[in-house]
Amino acid sequence: MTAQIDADRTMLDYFVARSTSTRPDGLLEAALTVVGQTRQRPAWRTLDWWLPSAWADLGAWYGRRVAIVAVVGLLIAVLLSLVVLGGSGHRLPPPFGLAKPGALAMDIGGDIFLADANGGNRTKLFAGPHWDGHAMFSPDGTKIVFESGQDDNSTALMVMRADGTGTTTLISRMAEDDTVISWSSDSRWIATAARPMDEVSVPSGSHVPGVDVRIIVGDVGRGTASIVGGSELFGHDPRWSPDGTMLAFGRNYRCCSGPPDSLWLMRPDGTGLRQLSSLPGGGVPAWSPDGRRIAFLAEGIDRDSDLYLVDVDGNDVQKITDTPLDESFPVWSPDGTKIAFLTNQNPYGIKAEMEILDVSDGRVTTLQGPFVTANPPVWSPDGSHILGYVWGTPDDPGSVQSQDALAIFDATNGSEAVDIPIAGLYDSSWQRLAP
Amino acid sequence: MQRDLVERAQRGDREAFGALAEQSIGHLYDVAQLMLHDSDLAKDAVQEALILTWRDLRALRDPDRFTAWMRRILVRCVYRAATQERRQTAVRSLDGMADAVLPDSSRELEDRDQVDRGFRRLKPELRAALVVHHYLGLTYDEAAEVLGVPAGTVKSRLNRATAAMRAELDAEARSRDRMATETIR
Repeated sequence: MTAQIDADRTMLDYFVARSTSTRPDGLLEAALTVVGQTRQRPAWRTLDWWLPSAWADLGAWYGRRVAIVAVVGLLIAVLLSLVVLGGSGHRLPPPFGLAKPGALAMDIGGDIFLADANGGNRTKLFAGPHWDGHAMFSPDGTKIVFESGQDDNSTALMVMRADGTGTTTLISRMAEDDTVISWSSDSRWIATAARPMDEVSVPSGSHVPGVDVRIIVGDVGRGTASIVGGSELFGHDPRWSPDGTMLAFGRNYRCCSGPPDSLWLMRPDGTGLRQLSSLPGGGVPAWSPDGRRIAFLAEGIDRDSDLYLVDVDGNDVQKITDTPLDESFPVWSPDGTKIAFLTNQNPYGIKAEMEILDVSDGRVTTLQGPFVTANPPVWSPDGSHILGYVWGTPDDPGSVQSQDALAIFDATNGSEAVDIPIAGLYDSSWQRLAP
Repeated sequence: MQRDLVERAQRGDREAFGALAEQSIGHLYDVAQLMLHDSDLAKDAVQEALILTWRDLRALRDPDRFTAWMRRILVRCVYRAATQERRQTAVRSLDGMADAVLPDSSRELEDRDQVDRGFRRLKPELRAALVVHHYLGLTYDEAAEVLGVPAGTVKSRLNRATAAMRAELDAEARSRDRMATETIR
């Protein structure tokens, strides 16, 4: 015992004598310079995310033989998993890029349904007492976030597992708005834009749509959410960058004053605000899958909405369309080679053509099919098809179709779209599965 | 306070990470130079550890575990640096650390030199176990988390390290006795 104490004391004395309280000059600055040039990795790419932290180093510590045994064991476990789970979709897809198409989450008649990729075999996942909609799968295909109407005329943002179980409320008491929801690539966070009811200060009736809309970031894992950017930041259409470090959004200003809307970037905590484009009306951003470019909408000379592309550093702004019509909702294909968008043919938002931009040569192709509503197009995870929605409103002057339908456009060979009548269909989201 | 900085850094806030790095860098360097006995390698290890900490920060599930998690990354970087050291044929000189030694009696200095020689002959894994347990004062379980091995392995490494150090000290003592005897003759 005494010998042990002596040994402990000897070592401690030795270390204390050898320790230094000063840090080398320039070390912090050198490290932070490299940090400034280093992107954070998404959590899913890190071993620590998948394994309890202490396990991550074991292979290295137990020597070559044990490491080989561990690798062989892991391979056996993987093979067994494949045998047991084969084809059941339990493997997770990468957060962006091409993936295998899974099910559709659809908003039909104010309830959330799960359906096959052709809209058939529908199962009701969630039916609240009021309207439920805007269902959106997480990039890993395991969760669905959606908007749900509440008894006090507010809406809540809710999250459930892909099978409809485990529903929790992430954000409550939002004033009704046409909510936009964006998942971070690691499927942990969402960003949305909404008017928090408790914060609305303008008198009833004088509200200007969009003016009081705040950017809200929610932590799906913890079930918490907060408004970001301080009391004077208003915006719409936030979209996560693929690496999860930035949000692009359309910024606007408090009621009826200030510069026009324009495209901005900020970190998800609201810091690092940076204007990306000063073009008026800038918004509805869409990040390329490699995170280098952003497609967005801004006003043309005749105040219609045109499609633009800009590098993430704000350089190389390109005007893609220059039509007298309103373009809307650019969405990148999973492989980043094309952008789908809509060209509205009338002001009612229910008669739009589905267009595809080939990013490499700037060529725009109109897809063959019905006129669709101005709802965001949805790419199939394998990039082969695009979904649009037909609203049948026979009594409306903008009517183009007698019944509601899901329109499945072929994005590869331009053949005529397939219409599948689904009464009450509003929009949908396509589940991504591991290839 | 640290939790807030960690959460901000996890969301990509480089300023918050800079504040965390400033708080930690002195301690990290201290630990690295004790394990490596080479200030240049220690600087390399600390710099790499800070960069990896930033790069992988989103994988940290519990922000309150930040310090232990960063130490674990540092230990990995120290091992890598120690591997580089072994691969280099040139002998590095110890620098800087002599300045840190406090004035002491000649007997204590002699004892410390003996400990020093024994410590430097240990494998990096054993050195790391001694530093985290004796210098950082971590329990076996805490040391196990930082070193990435089971607590039982920490104990066995400490035993082996202590035994090796004791053998080194005994050999030194025998050598001194023999020289003294020959001088008397």
